Amino acid sequence: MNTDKILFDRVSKTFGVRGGRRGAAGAVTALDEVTLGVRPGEFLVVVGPSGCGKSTLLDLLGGLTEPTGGRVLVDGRPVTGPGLDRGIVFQQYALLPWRTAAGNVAFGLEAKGVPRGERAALIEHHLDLVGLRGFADRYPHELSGGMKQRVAIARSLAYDPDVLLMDEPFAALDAQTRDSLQDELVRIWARTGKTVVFITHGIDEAVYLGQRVAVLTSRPGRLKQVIDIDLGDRDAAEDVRSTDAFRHHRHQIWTLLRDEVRAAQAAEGATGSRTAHPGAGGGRTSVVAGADARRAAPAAAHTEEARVG
Amino acid sequence: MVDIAERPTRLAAPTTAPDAVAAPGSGARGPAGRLLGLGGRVLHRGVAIVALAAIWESAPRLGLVDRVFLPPLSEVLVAWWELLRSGQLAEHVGASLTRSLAGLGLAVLTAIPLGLLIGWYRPLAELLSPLLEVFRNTAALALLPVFVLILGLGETSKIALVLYACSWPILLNTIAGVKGVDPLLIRSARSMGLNHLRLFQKVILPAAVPTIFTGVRLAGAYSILVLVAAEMVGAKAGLGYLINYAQYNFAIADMYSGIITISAIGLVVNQLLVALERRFSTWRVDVTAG
Repeated sequence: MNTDKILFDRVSKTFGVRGGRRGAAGAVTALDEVTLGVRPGEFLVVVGPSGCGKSTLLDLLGGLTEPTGGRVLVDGRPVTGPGLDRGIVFQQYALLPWRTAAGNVAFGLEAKGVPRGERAALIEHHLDLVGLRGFADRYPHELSGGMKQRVAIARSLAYDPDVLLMDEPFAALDAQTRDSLQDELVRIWARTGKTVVFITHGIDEAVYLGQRVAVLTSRPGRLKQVIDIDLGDRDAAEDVRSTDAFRHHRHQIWTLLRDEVRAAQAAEGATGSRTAHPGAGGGRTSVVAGADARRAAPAAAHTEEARVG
Repeated sequence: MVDIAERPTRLAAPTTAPDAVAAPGSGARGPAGRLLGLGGRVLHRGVAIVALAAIWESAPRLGLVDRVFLPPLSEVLVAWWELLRSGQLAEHVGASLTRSLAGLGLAVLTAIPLGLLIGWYRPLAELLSPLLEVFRNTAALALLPVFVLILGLGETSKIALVLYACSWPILLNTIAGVKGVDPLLIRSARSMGLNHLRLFQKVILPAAVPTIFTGVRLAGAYSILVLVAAEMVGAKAGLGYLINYAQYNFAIADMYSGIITISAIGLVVNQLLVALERRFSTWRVDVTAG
């Protein structure tokens, strides 16, 4: 237990739900007795069907909400609130639009209380690290989605947290940008040695990035299985995504998720009142269907946001 | 109310911005083209003004309207020049501007902090919002007699009326600005462990600045609108007084001179505030482009 950087110890989270269009008031169990450890320096990916409480897991770890049961430990100490030892990267970048790229990176440093004189070097170093040399003076509205997310990553890395929490950070990006950012993230992770907890609903992304992949069940979110990913020597294979090992792991997770997605859909059907829109259901199945998931990603992400948030 | 023709240009800005980033240097419109476009736009927007001037000049001369009540523009301009030369105009303008700037300044100083408080503390907002609703739907001019009754005929009541009228747009915009901050930005800042004060200083306030400035700009227009009415009651100087006094004395050309001057001041004040607003909200294109 002491070897874990992060430990979810039988963590549960229930939300009170106001009675509204969706039915009577009650409580929704987002997470149910999840126990999961993350080793120091590990890249752990969490996947699960929409609304399984992935984001809740991350909010708990970030100290933005408190568990209704169990404990979340970082370095053996319970999380009591937000802190600069954990940096969060959000799907929608969360950059301050009135600050330049450099200014946004500076924001975290200001929060940490880094003296003014030391900031410039740190900012330059981290913008370099994410491949944004020469973009320091650009405002967020002058940057593409991928570049914005790079700035957000640089911002989180700059104040040097031990743990990087990433909440579907690439879900809103197009496929090419996503692929290249995944490569960069792996490179940055290897260079900085951070512990990364990465939330996604993309199976390919999970297999590609994770050393281990934790699969959650649909609501209530429970830990279904943790899979060790072994893709062999990454540098040896020309295209890691087309190796046998990659396909094997993808199928493994796909199989685990298929039942969960069906369960989620059944639950959705039972709640009923939402929509009988074919697109919504289609979007969710394609989460499992591998490659298609990429195209459906933004839509599915929105649905999840709407349901969890 | 202020800029119906302003909007399209502001909305057009974000659509051109991404292109500029994607391909710097490949701008299809060179400086010459841009100048031509600007000239064309000025011409386009000037046509209506010129037409108004032409009608104003010719209608009385052609006998379409009684030239006693509406003298031709040229006669009005001559009278305006006389007022300017004699120093009367400067005196009236000075008196009016002092009052409206004092009122506007006080409104900025009081309404922005109050708005920030109301926007930030929900209990205060819930407590005050019924009161705000009542007052903001009470026309400022309807309260003029009350102000005069309580504060007398002097400067105080006039400045107080301007202060009152200017406070509403600033207050309401400040509240809206604070409440409208992207919750994700607050979440992100909170995740970095910022306390309430720092969060306010570094996130809420800068995010609200453009909205607050819109309020200040509207208030600038109100300050002049309301003032003129206030000056028609018990004033010894000021443009409102000039207009009213000239009308009583049948110096119709002087009356129109006063009106033209007020329009000009209103335009200038608005342009200044628009420029200031732009300066503080260049990043805002992102939001409109969403």
